[in-house]
Amino acid sequence: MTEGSMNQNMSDDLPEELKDTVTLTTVDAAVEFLTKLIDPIANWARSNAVWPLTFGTSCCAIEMMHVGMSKFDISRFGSEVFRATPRQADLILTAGTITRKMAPALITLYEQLPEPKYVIAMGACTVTGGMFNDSYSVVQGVDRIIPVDVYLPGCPPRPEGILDALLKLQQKIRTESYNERRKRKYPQSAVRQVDYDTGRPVEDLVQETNFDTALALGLEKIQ
Amino acid sequence: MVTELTTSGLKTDEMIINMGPQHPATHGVLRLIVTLDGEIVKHTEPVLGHLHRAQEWQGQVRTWFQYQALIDRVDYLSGMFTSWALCRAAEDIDGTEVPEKAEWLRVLVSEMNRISSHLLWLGTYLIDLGAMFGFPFYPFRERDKLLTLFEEIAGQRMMFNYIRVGGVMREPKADWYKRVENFTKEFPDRVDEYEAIVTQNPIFLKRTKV
Amino acid sequence: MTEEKPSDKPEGKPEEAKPAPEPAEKPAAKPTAEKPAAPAVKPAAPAAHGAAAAPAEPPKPLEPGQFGQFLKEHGIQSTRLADSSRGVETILLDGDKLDAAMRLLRHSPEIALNYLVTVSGVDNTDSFDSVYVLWSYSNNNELIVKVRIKKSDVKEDGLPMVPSISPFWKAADWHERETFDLVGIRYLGHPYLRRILNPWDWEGYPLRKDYKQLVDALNDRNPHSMR
Repeated sequence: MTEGSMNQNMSDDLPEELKDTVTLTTVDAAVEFLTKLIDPIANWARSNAVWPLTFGTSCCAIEMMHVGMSKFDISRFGSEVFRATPRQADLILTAGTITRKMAPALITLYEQLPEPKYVIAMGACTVTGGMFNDSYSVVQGVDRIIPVDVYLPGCPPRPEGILDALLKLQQKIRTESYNERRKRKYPQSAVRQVDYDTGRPVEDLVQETNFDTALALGLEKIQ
Repeated sequence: MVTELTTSGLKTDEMIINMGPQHPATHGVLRLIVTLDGEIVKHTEPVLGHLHRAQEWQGQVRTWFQYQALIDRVDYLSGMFTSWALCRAAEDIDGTEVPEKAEWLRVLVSEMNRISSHLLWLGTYLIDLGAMFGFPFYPFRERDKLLTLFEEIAGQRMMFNYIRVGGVMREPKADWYKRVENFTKEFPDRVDEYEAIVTQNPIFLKRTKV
Repeated sequence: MTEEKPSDKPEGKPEEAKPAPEPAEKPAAKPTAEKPAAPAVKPAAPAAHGAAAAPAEPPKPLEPGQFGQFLKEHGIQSTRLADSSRGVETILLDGDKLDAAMRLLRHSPEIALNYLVTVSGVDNTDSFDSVYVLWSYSNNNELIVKVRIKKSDVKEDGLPMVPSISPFWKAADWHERETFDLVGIRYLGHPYLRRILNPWDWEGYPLRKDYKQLVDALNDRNPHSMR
């Protein structure tokens, strides 16, 4: 019996007329109360120190380098260091096209980031597939494999654009509650779940997508 | 140093390590499976293809004009060169003659692109060796000046789409040439500055000299 | 598409931005429909276009050029194809003569074609081509060698086979792997022939004309795409 289930049991069993008075009896309610006090400060602190991961695949990586340099300084917004290991970062700025061969690596990186983690999909290739719209090896938008918080269009986006996306992300961090996030209350599931080794979607979703695409493209059923 | 340890009786093993696709030293995606003996690389097998975006296939199904937009991304550090190659091929087949001013402009912007690409090489090479100033500070300052000049002439900092079949996209204003000339006047001093920081640096020498 | 189309161009990959420009591989069925409206189009030179009037009688075989002569002296028969649009000599060899011819061309002191620019592959409608572009630094000229395998010669579910030159010419190693990956020409004698650009378990050869790619949840967006 974990702490979570114990809390739920206790709060469910409280009779109606006691719910107003018994405010601090459950651990869960205590945590909620404390986080209401601490949230503004904690969120302010977290939003001003978002450390990105050095994840640059292609052309957008060059603009990411430019945003790290002295003219469009990203460290004045808190992203002082770009961490090389995902264990120490809290933002993936997916800069560059994600291909099917690279998709398992990106999913592994995303899974290795500790919570709370954020993703900014940078550039047209990661937002929707971009100009590689009909290529056989490009994942059409990184939100098919990992959940995305901010979409940043452009090919490549200007460094000021990247800073704008970072500011929007900071606004988002300031208005969310970490407790809600911990309980997975935000709908942040990825659009598709993908197998780690091959980069292909898991089997129960393939049938569904086969059906749709066969209709849409007028083809006979694949496999 | 490794051989001294081995001859003194210490048994060493070779390690097989994966420098995966995401690594700050790979500059983009390159996966290296290296066999290491201490710090010496005995054998490596590169695994490519993490950025295979099907550009050859897109070139097959698109027309020449449509592919113009995609060719800048093939080698994104030298977009002018690749689009010049595409346009020159189309002109050779067609027999189109390019006006002389356009040829000179092509040479000018391509050489500026070459300088900016080499500045990026310098920055990343130095940061691979541990010199922190390489990546964020000095070479990128010059590169940013060049990208501002490109933005004035082509409209975009990086994917220029400037060299077209039969010439270039448009002619720059008269004072653009003056700005380029100012850049060329001050650039040799910058190169001296980089050289002063790098060439006699004992760490650089120790890490690169055999 | 007949073999003697005068606009046989040097096929190459657009991603190799070498000093000799190499055009993107053009599909065989659309020769001049894509002539773009360039600002100063002169009436094109007669030798450099495609889809001119189809010849009424079979065209005469072309005279062997400098390299063809050289190979003939050493006992290797080659057919000369039409020059590329920049005037580069193009010859067609048999698969079993390829090894000997390449060694000759590379090691002979007066020919000295010792720079292999690229190895690529073409899927014509009825045959596969394996194209080798050679360049000589000392003489400043180049040569294009093609090896043609007819599709009727290829077994069912098999691949066209061409002997590999990578045992003695290391530059061809990855180029042949790329051609195997994208066009599906199998190089016999290659030390480690496996897919280089696509994932190792990819099915199909993308640059073939009849390639229909897998559409799944990762790339199912565009109903008007040309896949």
